Amino acid sequence: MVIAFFVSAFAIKLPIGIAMAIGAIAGILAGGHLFPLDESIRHLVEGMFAYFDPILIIATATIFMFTMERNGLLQVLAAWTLRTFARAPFVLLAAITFIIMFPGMLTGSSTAAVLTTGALMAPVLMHMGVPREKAGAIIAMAALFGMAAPPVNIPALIIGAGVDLPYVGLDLPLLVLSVPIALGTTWALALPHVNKKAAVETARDVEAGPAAKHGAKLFLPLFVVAALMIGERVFPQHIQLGLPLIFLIGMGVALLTGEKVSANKVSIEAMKAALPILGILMGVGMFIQVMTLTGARGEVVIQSLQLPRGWTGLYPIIGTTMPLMGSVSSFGAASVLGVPFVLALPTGPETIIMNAAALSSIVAVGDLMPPTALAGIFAAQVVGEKKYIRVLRWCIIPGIIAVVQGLLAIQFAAPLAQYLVRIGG
Amino acid sequence: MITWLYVLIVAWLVYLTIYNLYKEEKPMDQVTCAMVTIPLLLRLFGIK
Amino acid sequence: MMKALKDRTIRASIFLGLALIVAAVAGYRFRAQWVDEPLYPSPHLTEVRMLSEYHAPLEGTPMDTELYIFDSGEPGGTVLICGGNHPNEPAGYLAAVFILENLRMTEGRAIVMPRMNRGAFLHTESQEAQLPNFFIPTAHGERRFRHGSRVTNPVLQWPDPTVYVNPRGPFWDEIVAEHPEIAEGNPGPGRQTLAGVDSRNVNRMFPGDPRGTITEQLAYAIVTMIREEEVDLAVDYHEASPEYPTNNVIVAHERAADVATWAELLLSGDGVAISTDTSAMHLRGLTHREWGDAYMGIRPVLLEAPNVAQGRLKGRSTPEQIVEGLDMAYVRVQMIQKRLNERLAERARRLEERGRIPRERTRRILYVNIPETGIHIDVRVARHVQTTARLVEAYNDQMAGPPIGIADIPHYDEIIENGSGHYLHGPEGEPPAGAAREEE
Repeated sequence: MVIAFFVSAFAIKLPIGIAMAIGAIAGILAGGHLFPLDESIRHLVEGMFAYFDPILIIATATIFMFTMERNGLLQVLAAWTLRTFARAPFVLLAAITFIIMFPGMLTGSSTAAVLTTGALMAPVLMHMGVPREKAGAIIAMAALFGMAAPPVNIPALIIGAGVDLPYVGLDLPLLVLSVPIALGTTWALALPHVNKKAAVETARDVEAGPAAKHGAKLFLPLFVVAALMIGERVFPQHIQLGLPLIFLIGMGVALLTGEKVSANKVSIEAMKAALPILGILMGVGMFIQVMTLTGARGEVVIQSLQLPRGWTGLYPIIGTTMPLMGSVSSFGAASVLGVPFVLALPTGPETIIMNAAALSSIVAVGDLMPPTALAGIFAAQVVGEKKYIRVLRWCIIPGIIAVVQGLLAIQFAAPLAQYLVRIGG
Repeated sequence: MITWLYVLIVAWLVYLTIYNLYKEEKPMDQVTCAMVTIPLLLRLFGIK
Repeated sequence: MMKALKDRTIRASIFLGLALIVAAVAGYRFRAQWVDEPLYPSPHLTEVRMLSEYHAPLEGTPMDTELYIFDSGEPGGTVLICGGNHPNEPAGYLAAVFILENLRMTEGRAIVMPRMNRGAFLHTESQEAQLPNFFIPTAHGERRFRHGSRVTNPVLQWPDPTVYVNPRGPFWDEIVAEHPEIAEGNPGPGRQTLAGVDSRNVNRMFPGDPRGTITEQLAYAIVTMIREEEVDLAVDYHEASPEYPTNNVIVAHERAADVATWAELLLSGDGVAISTDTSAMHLRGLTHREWGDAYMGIRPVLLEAPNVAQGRLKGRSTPEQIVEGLDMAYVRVQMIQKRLNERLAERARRLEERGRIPRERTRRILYVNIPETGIHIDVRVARHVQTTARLVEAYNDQMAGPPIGIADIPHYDEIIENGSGHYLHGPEGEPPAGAAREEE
């Protein structure tokens, strides 16, 4: 399977999605599952459905982002932010980090964060003098930490569901594991390039563009989308629109509040940009289904569990397999590996919560791993970098630090839990 | 109610995907589009 | 031909055609799961009702499910027996079918609900690569049963919320007003944050919501039925993967704890090793918790048996995995576990010699012993059936409520000896070989 994938992807240079599909078919052949043919087709198609909801989110988020760009919002916002904060880059960078994290915190999706506020902040970062690749890396990492931050961390929810752990007491550990490292990453990547004097000068030169004449109403789509996302969290029993619908409502508002944009045209272009990624998700879905069918998935889990706890045993395995498996899907890795790992670690009532938080922050790093690398791919897209590997290069060190931080949290779970985990009521 | 809105969203994505399928130049990009249509169509018709 | 392929539009049409063919083939397979396999109740059945009689909006929806009622005509209590809460746990479903096709009531009545979440029988889950069916040999040939998913088919309830908050339900406040003591240390149902996918897991949303999603309505209908029919004892059949800590166990609401521990004792005489867990108050939405908190008359329990086919460590998907409970991957894990524990013990000893405290002395990867012959579905069904019989006996012994008399349920040893199929109808409805039992 793996060989078929690599040959198709790198020797024949097929798109990753198709190469994954070929890998899956190779797995079916090798496993002797080809016949009955309708059953093997059923497995392949069923595998695609793992990513059905992500497809809708990615497609609609991309459409929303393209609309905001075309109606002039992005440019105006970039110019405005720069003029306001040019004198305080340190604060501005912190604000940018939080803004990028915000949709990820609320939705548990790094894609949503990259494609919305990530896209908004990309021009700001680049005007400040941050090179394209590093700007992409900042966006990818902030989105990733946003996904791992409370109140919504979906891998943590999935791990909790697998061990009958209610979603209680996770907020503080998740916050500690995500916010400091997110700020640190942004500062480390951006500050060397930011010169206060130059920033003030650039800020003067940046054009707000023709959309500036629309005034404050131009920002309405952002407020609507943010309000709906917050509403879903605050009143989950009353507002349940789901991200795809929220993004389309945002698009609708954006069509009315800025420069004239053709809804049809912008959607087609956005879809064209999103389709290769959707194709990858389809391929990955098939690949994992076949891995499960042939027992390869179980084998990965078994191999991961056979070492004692500690830095020479289980921890490096956690630190590598979780992000690697997360490359195919961080949610899948949370369920398939996260649950057995939590059970392999000490399971005291507070410690288990600390461990679940740590594991969920490690698995989030998987969103940087090729071939899917959702956070990386989209971050490259929003900064206009053709090769996402160039963006990912700058993510390696923060990614490793995030994993090590997670492992340290596991190592010291018991004492940390005393301070961080509060199980009230 | 909300389900119907989502069915509409899927229908629209099917249209966008098939439009791009006919517009893409490279055969492999077309295959990608065709692949993405499969689950969208199955959900659109309430099968899976 | 080659020239035609160079034309982008023709090429696109060919690819689209291929996609349609693939979608059609897969769609045909997906739709095949929507057909209910026939069940053949024992001749002592008195009535079949639909669950929608207790909550009309379910009528005509794919979630509506049959309730098979066995009324002895004698006064007594009511026992509710449920399978198919999670249709990916095949022995849970099969055990309920087994009871349905053999049961005779001598006192009180029984309500058997073999397909609790019918909506979850209608598909298999993505990425789990489950087989769609399993086959049980009967005296008249192999009989097919569906193997479903843990959650309702998304076609019936979609989209999932990002996070799911389970419902409070309409009953709790009323119960607390009448029996304030129940609220002691008990936060009551609902308001628990769960992963979005659990919005389709009926065993996380009791007592349900009459105006909620279709799965929440199902939960509401079931609880309403329990209240209106004044169910005294309820048994909900499940299975769990061998790596899941709660296994081979009766999970009992605190009101059912005495009955469950007494049954545990009776079962030890049958050679069935089982333990009793008390239902946690902070884990909401589950049958053994919410049924008891929504109706004061009921003693609800949930049974778990070990199933390798739903595990995360499972090997390739095969029919043997489901029916024989045989998976060499799990057998191998046991050896790995043994080696690991030897290593841990050795390391702990060395550390202690140096006066240090080891972090890890033993580790359990599996919570159930998997023999090299597997844990056959007959054994798992026999466990559930025998536990049910003993629970009823314990309930009667303790005079927990009006008496319940069940008969014609074969003993654990008989089921293992003859196989569960011996007591099931044939694929065309032929009577089971084991049915010609003398009336006791």
